[in-house]
Amino acid sequence: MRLRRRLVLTMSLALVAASAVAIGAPPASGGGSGDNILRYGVEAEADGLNPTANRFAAAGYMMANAVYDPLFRLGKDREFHPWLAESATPNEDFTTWDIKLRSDVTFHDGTPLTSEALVVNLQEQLADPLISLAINDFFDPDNPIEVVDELTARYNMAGPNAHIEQYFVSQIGYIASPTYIEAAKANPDLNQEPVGTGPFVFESRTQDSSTTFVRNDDYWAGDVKLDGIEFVIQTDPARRADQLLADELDMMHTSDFGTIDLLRGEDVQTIEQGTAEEGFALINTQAPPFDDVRARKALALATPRKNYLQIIGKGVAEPADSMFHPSSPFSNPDVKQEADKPAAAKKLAAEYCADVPENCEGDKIKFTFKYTGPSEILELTADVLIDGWDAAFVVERAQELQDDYVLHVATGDYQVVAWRQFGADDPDGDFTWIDCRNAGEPGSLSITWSRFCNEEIQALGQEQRASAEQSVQVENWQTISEILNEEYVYIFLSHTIWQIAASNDVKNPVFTKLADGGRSVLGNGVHSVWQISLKG
Amino acid sequence: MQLAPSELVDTLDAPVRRRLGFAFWLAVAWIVLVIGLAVLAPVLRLADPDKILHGQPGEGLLSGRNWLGTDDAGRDLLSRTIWGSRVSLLIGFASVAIGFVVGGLTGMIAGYRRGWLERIVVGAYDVMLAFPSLVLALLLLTFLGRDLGIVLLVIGVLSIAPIGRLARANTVAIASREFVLAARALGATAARTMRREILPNVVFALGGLALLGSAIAIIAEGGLAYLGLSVKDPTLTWGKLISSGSSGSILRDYPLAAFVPIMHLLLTVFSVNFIGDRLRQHFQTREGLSAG
Amino acid sequence: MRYLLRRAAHLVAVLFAVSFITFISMNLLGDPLKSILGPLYADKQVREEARAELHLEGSVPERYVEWVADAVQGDFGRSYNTRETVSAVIGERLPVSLMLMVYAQVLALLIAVPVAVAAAYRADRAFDRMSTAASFVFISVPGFASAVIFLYAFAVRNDLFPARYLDDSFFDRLYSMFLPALALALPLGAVYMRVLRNDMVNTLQEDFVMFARSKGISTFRILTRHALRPSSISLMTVVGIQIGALLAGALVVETIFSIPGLGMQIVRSILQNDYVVIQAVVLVLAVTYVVVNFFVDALHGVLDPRIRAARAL
Repeated sequence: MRLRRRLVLTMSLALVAASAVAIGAPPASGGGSGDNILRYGVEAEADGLNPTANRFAAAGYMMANAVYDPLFRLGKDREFHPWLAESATPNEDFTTWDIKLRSDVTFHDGTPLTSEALVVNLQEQLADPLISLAINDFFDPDNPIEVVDELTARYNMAGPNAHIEQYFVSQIGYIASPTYIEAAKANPDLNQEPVGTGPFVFESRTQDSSTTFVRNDDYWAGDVKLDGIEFVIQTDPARRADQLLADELDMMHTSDFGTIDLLRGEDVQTIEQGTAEEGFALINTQAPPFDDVRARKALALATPRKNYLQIIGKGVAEPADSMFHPSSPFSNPDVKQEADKPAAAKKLAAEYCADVPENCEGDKIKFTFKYTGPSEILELTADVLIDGWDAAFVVERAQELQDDYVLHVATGDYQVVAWRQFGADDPDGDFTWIDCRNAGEPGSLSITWSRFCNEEIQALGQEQRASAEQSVQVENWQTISEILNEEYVYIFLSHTIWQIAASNDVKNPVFTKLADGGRSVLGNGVHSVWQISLKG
Repeated sequence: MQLAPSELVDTLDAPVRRRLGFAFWLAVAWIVLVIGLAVLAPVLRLADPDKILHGQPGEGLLSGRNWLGTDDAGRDLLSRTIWGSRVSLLIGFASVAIGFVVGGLTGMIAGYRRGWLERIVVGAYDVMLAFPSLVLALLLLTFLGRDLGIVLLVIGVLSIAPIGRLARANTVAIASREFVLAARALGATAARTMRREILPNVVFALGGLALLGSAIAIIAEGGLAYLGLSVKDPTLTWGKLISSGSSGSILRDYPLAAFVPIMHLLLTVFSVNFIGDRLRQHFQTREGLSAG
Repeated sequence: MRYLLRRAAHLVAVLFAVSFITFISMNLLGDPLKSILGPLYADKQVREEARAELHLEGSVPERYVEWVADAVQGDFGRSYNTRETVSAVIGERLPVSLMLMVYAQVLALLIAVPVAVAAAYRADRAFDRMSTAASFVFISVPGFASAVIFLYAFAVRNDLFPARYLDDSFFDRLYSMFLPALALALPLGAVYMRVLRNDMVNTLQEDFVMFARSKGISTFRILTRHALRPSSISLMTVVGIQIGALLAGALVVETIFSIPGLGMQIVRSILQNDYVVIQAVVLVLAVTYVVVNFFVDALHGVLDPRIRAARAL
C-alpha cells in the first residue's frame, strides 16, 4: 500500500518535471501500517465533544461513544439497559428517579465517578441555552437534581414521567468528568479535548479532518482490544464508501440511500437499522394558507412520493406512513399517508382558492418552501417535491443557512419545510415535538414545530408519559397517529435507514456485551465501540 | 479569479499576424452559438430544466430526446446547461460592463484631473486590489446575501480597480499628447476634451481587457459556487451545476452532470480568451497597451 | 531607502483600509447577532448577554479600535459556535493552505522552467509552437475544472490518488495533495512559461549573449547560465502577481478534495454564520496578501533600478 503510494506520487512528479528534477527522498515514517488502530469514517464534524456545551448529532455521538459512557444503552430487545448506571428507581408516581452509579469507576483524568458528577453534568446542560431547549421541560425547574449518597443522585421531574431511561441513552446520559467541565467552562478550547470514563482516551483532533483516541487500559467494563480509534471526517457519503472499499477506512456509517444500496452489494459487512427518524414535509399549521386543513390535504395529495422514493430514496428507502416503522408495536396499520394524486389536489386547491383568493394565484395556492443548505441532496429533494406540488401550488423556494432555518422554524416564520425527526425508541421521546405546551404563539419560540395543538392528542400524550404500561402507550400512540394523519399535519415521505459498514477484518463491529448480559444495538446510527477488534 | 494574466498578455511580444485564421472564426462561432442559445432559451423548445424524470436518471450522450444525457434526477442536461449559461454569461458580460463604466470613468477623470482627486481614486483602487479578489467577494457576499443582482454587482466591483488603473494610466499618457493639448489650448471644456479626444483612445485600449474580464468573471462565479456563495437557488448557473455535479456519488455515477457544464465553461472561456488574444494581435497598437 | 519608506507608509495605509473594510462589513450589514444566535435570537436575555460577550456594545470606532488592538496581539475572540479561540482555528488551518500553495508554486515552476528553456532554445520551432499553444489552453482552465477532471480520472475511476487529505506524515501530505496542487499549478505554470520564454528569447538577442556566443559557448549553456538569471527577475514579479489568483484557487480546490485548510473553514463558517471566524480569516488572508506583495514589490524595486525610477513617477 505505502509502496504503491510512493510509486504513484514519484512517477507523477517525474512526469510533471519532465526534466529530471530530483526531489528529496520522502521521509519513510507515518502511522497506518501494522498498528491496531481502527479508522472510522463519520458523516460530519462535531462542533465540540463536551456533552454540556456542544450538541451531538450522529457523528458526535459516535465519537462520544469512544470517550464517554452513557448511563443507559439500548439493547437488542429494544429495552434500555443500565450501563454506567447500575439502576434507576422511580418513586410511586414517577415524579422522582434515583439513579445509582456503578462503583470504582474513574474518569480519564483520575477524578472518581460519583453522584456529584451527575449533578454537575445536568446543571451545566440546563444552563446551556441550546442544549436545555429540549430537556428543560422534563425536570423540576427549582430543583432538578440532588445528591442522595456517594453514588446515587435523585432527578426531580416536572410531572409524572415513567420514561426517563430513554433520556440517558442520549446526550444527557453521556457523563463527562466534573473537573473537566469546570476547566472547559474557563477555557472553551477544551471542548475539543473531552475527558470521560469511556474505553478510549482522547489523544488529538484536527477539525474537519480527524479525531484520534487511544486505548483506556483501565476500562471498567473489560479489556479494550484496539490500540486506538480514529474518526475520519468525510462529509461526502460516496467518497466515504470509496475509502472503505479502498481499505483507507475500516468502518463507516451512512444514512445516504445511494451509498447504502452500493455497499449492500460489496464484499463488506453491513448492519442496518430502518427504524430511525422519518423524513417528512413539515407544515406550519398556524400560518395561512396551511391553517386550513384543505390546503394541507391538497399539499399531501400533490406530493410526488413515488418520484421521491425513486430519486431521493434510490429505490432503497421505505415509504413512511406515520412516525412509526411498520415493525414498531406503536405503528397503526390503518394509517396511510395520502400522496401522488395531483388531480384531486388540483380540485381541492381550486375549492380553497374560491374561498380564500388572497392566498392564491388563480386556482393554485401560493406558499414558500424553505430548506437548508447548500446541500446537494436537500436541493434535489426540493426540486423533486416542488416538481409535484406545482400541480396545485405556486411554490416559491428559499434556501437558508442552517441556523437561520432553525430559527425560522422555531419561531414559526415558515410555511413548509423539509424536516427529519421522530424515530425515538420510546415514543414518549417524540411527544416533545407535538406537545401543546411547547406550541407557542406566532413569533415565539416553539419546539412543537408544526404548532399544531389538539386537546385529544394532548390528553393521550400526557397519559402515556405518566404510565409505564406498554399497552397504554400502544393504544395512545396509535390514536395519535390517526389524528395527525387525518389532520394532515405532516406529510411523511420515508424512514431513515442507518447503515454501518465494516471491512471483513473488523470483529464485533456493532453489537457489544451489555453489563447485564444482553447485547447492545444500533440506535439512530449510533453504536458502542468498545468491543471492536481488528483481525491480523 | 485571476486578474493578472491581462497585464501579462499585454506585454508579450507575439508575432503580428495579418489574418485571423480558421480557429478564430471557430471560436467566434462557438460564442455566437452559446449566446444565441442563452438568449433564445425561453422560445426554443427545450425540455423544462427542472423537470424531474424527463428521462431516466443517468442517460448517456445522444440518448433519445436528451441529447447531452440526464443527471441523477433524470433532468435534461442540455437544457440545464443552457439555462445555466444565461446567468453565467450575464455575470460575465454585465459585471465587466459595471467595471467599465465605473472604473473607466473614475480612471479617466483621475488621469485627466490629476492632483488630490487622482490620489484618492488611486488609493481606492489600491485598497480594492489589496484584497485577493475572491476574498473581497467572499466578504461582500457573506454579508449582502446572494441575489442575482448582488452577485453581479460584487463581481462587477472586483473589475473596477484593474480597469480603472489601466484607464487612468492611458489617460495620463494621452492627455499629454499634442492633439489633446491643442484642443485644450483652443478652449475646449474638460468634459468635451475628455469625451471627444480621450475617451475614444482609452476605450480602444481598454477593449482588450473587456473579453478577458468577462472570461475571468465567468470563472469567478464557478469558484464562488464551490464556497456556497453563488446566486441563490433555484437559479441555475454553470458554477452551481459543476459544483453540485462534482460531489461524490454524482461524480461517480452520473459524471455527465459535471462534465457537460465543465466543457461548456471551458470552451467558452477558451474561445473568449482566444478571440481577445487574436484581436489584440490583429490590431496591435503598442502604445495603448504599454501602461499598467 | 526613500523608496522603501514610501512603500512602507503605503503599506500601513492599505492595512488600515483593509482592516477597516473587513470590520465595517460585518457591523454595518445587518445585525450579526441574529445569525450568530440562530433560534436563541428570540430570547432577549441571551441576546443581551451575547451582545456583551461579543463586544457589540459601544460605538463603531470604539469597537474597531478594540478589535484591531486585540487582533494585533493575535486575539480574534472566540467562535460563537465552537467556542474555540479563532487564533487556534487559524493556526491549525493556515499551514495546510500554505502548504498547498507552496506545493502548487513548486510544481508550476517545475513545469514552467524546463519547458520555457526548451522552447526558447529553439524558438519558433515545433516544440515552441506546441508549448505556447498548450500554455494558452492551460491559462484558460480554472483550477476547479482541472481539479474535478483529475478527481474523476485519478481518484474516482481508479484509486491512484486518494480523494481526501492524509496527514500521517509529510509524505502522505505530499501524496494526497498532489492532484489539487497540480490543478492549481497548470494555469500558473502556463503563465510562468510564457513570461519566461519571451523574456529569454529577448535576452538571447542582447549583446552580451551575442558576445558569449561568439566566444563559442553553447546556446544551452548560455540559456541556463546567462539568460535564466536575468529572466528570473521578471519571473519573480509574475509569481508575486499570481499569488492572489493562487490563493483564490487554493480555497476553492480545497473544498473539492476535502483538504482541511482555510477554504474548508470558510465554507464551514459561512454555513454556520460564524461571522467572528469569517472576519478573522478574511483579515488574515488580506493582510498576508498585502504584506507578501509588499515584499515582492520592495525586493523587486531594490533589485531592478529601472523599476524604482518608474515607480517614482
